[in-house]
This record gives sequence, C-alpha cells and structure tokens, in this order.
Amino acid sequence: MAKYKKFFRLSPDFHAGQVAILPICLSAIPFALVLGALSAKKGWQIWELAAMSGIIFAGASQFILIEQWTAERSVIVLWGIVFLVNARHILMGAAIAPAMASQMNMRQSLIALFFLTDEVWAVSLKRAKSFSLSFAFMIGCGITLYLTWLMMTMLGHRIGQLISDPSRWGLDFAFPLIFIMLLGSFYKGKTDIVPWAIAAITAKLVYHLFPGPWYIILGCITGCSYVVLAHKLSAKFGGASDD
Amino acid sequence: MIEQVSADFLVAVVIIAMGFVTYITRISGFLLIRYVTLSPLIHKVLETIPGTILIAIIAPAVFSGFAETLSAGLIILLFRFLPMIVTLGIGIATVAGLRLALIQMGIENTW
Repeated sequence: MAKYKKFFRLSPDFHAGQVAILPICLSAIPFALVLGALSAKKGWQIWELAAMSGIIFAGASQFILIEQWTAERSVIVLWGIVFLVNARHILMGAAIAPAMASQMNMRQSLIALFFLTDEVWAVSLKRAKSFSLSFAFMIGCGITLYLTWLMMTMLGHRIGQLISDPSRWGLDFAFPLIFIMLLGSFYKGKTDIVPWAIAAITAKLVYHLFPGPWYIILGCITGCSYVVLAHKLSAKFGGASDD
Repeated sequence: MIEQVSADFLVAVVIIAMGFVTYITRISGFLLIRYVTLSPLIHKVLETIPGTILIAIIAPAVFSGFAETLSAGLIILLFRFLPMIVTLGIGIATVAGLRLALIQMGIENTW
C-alpha cells in the first residue's frame, strides 16, 4: 500500500476525496448508463457523447442536450439553455471560494473548479468544515467522479446500441421520467412548487401556440418572474425575508 | 464524406463552446466574489432556473395524455423510495401499458 502511494505520490487527502465521493459515483452510474443508452437511441455517436461527458461534464444539461438537439433546434438556443441550466455553478463557486482561496493558489483553484458539480461542491464544503479543503481532496473527488461519469456514459452508449427497440412505446417517455428524477434533486422545498407549476402551465400553453423552443424559454421566464415578484412583495410587505 | 467531416467539426465546436461556457459558470462565482456580492434575489433566481427549464421541457409530454400524466404521477410518488433503474422501468411499463389499454378500450389517449 505504501509502495503504491509512493509510486503515484497521491496524498491521503486525495484518497479521502475518493472515499467521500464514492457513494455519489455509485448513484451516478445508473444515470450515466441511461444517458449513454438514450444518446445511442437518439442517434448520437460515441465520440460526441464522450466529448459531452468529458468537456461539459454536467449531467442535467447533457440530458437536455441529447433530448433537444434536433435539426430544428438552433444551436444558439441550446447553448443558451446549457448556460442557464449550469448558471447555478456561479453560486457554488462563490460559496466555496473562501474555503478554497485559503488553501490553494489560483492555478490549482482553476483546475479544481473544472470538476465542480453539485455533489463535488457539497462534499468539499462538508470537508472544509472539519478539515482544511485541500487541492488533493478536491481533485480526488473530482477526477473520480469525472472518470466514472465518462466511462459509464460511454458504456451506456455501447449498451444502448445493443438494445433493439421493437416497442418504441416507452422510449419517448423515458426522458420526462428521468427529468422528473432530476427535478427531485433540484427540489429545495415548498417554495419551488408555485414557480414550477407556473413554468409547467406556461410551457404547455406556449407549446401549443408557438413552434420552436419558446415553450422552454417562456416557461423558465415566467417561473423566475414569479420568484422575483414574490421576493419583491415579501420584502415590501413582510417583515421576515422568507419562509 | 466532406459533409460528414464538416458536420462533425461543427458538432465538436458547439460542444466545446458549451463546455467553455459551463467552465465559465464554474469559475466566475469564485473569481468575482471578491468584487461583487450576489444578492439573495440573484441567488433565488439562479437556483430556480434549472428546475423551471426541466419542468418546462417535460410539461407538454407529461400532459399530452392520460397515460403519460398518470405514469408521471406514479413516478413522482415512487422515485424517492426505489432505485433509479427500477422507477424508470416502472414508469415506462406503466405508460406503455396504459397506452395499450386505452387503445384496446377505444379511448383516445389525450386530455
């Protein structure tokens, strides 16, 4: 064991990161396999999938991409959607900045941040509470999840190529079902219910009125407008900031 | 042949561009925090965006018919308790089964 560590020169912190991220890696595997398989069914080539997993490395946006990227969709719109879905990383980067800045130099931070997903972020913040958050730890988390995700999405693609789809009855509905499960991880509490309901209703209506991606854009805008409105109203009339 | 290579090249460029903007989201909060503070409202909006986009994408499909809505409702109840693959299988089987049942009964699968 000591020889192995000496050979790779990996610190205990690196291994601590791997251990910390392991349960998340395990729960990510079925999602990765399904993503790969669905991408194969949707006609994606394996190198395109590998590029997505390796360069974008963001699950929710990857699912959206493989579902939405058709001949009719403008890539500008898709690019915008990827940006918006991942915009929450801005908050995460800001929140973890103090823990990182005290322990790593800028170059290390910029490398570690490449692997920042919700889970890596949460695990790293937790680590920072009892220990100092080291570069080795974050890389241990990040590279482990990254390789798991990359390998498993590609494996899923291979599997998806093998599965013939005689009944195409359910496949189309696989995406909404997966998105429901993704929504489960985004769900923060009761305050999400109304914005999401507004987004859903708007999207359903707009979908039938206008072709194109407008139902997604307007659903998002109306849902977020409600959040802004509710925030402004509670600031004006309520005493406490939110409940 | 040429068309395929140039099409592939375009796809690669787009994916790289998406990866680039995603990386920007990952570093910008870290880099900017010393210069700007993010208001609670910005926090709320940025946290709400992904959920609204996901639900907007699925809303037309989920509400397209009786079979789909029922299947989605079932999955919402079950997904926290069962492994992901199992709930996915149940959802797909449910929607396929209900669609078939509705056809057999001569009822149109729509709202």
